[in-house]
Amino acid sequence: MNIQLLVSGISMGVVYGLIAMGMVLIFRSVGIMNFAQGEFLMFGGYFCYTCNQILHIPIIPSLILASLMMGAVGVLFMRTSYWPLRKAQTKAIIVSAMGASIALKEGARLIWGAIPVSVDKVADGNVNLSGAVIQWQNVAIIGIAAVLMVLVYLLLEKTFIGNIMQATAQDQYMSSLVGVPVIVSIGLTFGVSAMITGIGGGLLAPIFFLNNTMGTVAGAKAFAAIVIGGFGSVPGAIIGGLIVGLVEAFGGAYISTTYQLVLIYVALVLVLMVRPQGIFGEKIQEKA
Amino acid sequence: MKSTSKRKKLILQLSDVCKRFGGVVAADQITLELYGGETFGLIGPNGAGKTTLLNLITGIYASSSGTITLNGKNITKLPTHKRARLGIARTFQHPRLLDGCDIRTNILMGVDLANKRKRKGEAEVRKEMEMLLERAGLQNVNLEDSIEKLSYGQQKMLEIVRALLSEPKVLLLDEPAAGLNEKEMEYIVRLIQVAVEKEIAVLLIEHAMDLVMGICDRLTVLNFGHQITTGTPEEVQANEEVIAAYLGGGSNA
Repeated sequence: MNIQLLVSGISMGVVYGLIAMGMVLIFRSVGIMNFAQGEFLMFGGYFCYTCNQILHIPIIPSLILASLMMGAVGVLFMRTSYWPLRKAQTKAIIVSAMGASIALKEGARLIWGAIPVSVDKVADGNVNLSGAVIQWQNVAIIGIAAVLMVLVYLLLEKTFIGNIMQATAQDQYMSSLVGVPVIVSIGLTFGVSAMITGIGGGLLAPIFFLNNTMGTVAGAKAFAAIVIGGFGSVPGAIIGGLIVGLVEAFGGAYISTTYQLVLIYVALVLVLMVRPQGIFGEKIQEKA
Repeated sequence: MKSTSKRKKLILQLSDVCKRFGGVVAADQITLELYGGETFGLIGPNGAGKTTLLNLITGIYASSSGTITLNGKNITKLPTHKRARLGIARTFQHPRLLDGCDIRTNILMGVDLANKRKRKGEAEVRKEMEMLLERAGLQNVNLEDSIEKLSYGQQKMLEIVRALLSEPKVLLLDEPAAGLNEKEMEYIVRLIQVAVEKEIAVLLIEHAMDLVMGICDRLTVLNFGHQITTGTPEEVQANEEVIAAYLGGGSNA
């Protein structure tokens, strides 16, 4: 029972971690919390559904295709809901992201309808681990998410393009002065962010079914993960995601499934009471 | 940098460049010509529009009217990164470098983007970098160190090294000497010397009057976005309007 909960908690946690990571990448790049990030998860899931169930492409290529399509959606999202407002107040951009979130949600309903759908599992069947029944899909989710996280880390830290993305995140003017096309660099960031989040949708679909509102709840949990992990920290987003996933799994089993979301926020409050800056967050220093 | 008056090549030209922010005219019909190997000063009291002018040249601000040409090419409508690639480099009053990166990454970033490392070859770029670091008094720093290990003055120097290594046509320096000690100021002068030797047009904003009058071939005085006069240091110092607006203010700040 406990191992089962542990595995399902971690597998949910890594998906929240993927959403949270996507949000953090955008936050670090342009300083905006993207409240439409959860919709990237939902859209990625539906793209995967289209490839897998309608076009009958096997699930792994479907996930890759869905992820590539999400890259394009991310760039388009940046160009339409962030770029025109980049010089406006932060509030305006946040409202614009909320608007985009509604548009994506309703757009999905128009395209794919309101009936929940599913996709194939990456790995079918169960494994019996000393009495605990563990779904292979959960193990696959953990594995794929871990690979994605490593890839994003390598992209950001070890490649020239990653350096450019980080440079733009730090100082757009300085970067453009050394020749960085800022719009391309920010576009790439949104693209990568949407890609990793979108895959999460395809991975969750066999367990939860896809519907057009699934992104909103998942986005809220990812936001809690970011606050727990420390605002702006990529490792924090992953750890925060895991904490949210585990609290949800164990809280749901031992306390109440009705209050799962409440438990997440209780965990958030507890972490903030001990570490107001979040686990990996940097303390904002007071001026001497 | 004062030099013999051989025929210089026109690099950067501003014709009637204006910038208005609402009702405020931050740049009023600015007309300038910068030649290769020339050090051109830009002085004026705080708020005169000096930095605004730099931002117009780099393209961070779009000019309200007028044209800017670089080597005869109209760059007025080009975005900043394209201007940078055509050869406009600038440094900042407070150095803007990449935090959390080592010194080498910071220096080579612009070079990588300009693809010069491939074109000129790694060895050539390294030789050039070593020469520049030596001129900047930074020959003993460890390039693997984080950028935060450098002092404020060293960071300012490093910004100029980065700019020079990208082989610009125009180098815009925004108060390079501010906050530096005598020794560091010497290094700045040495770096400007390198730029002049490389036939780069240097545009220098500076409040340290001794420095400006000492090394600039020509300079222009701005006040409230308006160009009061342009000329050699001697001509400018003798101009009555300048004395009233700026130099005669009782201080050399």
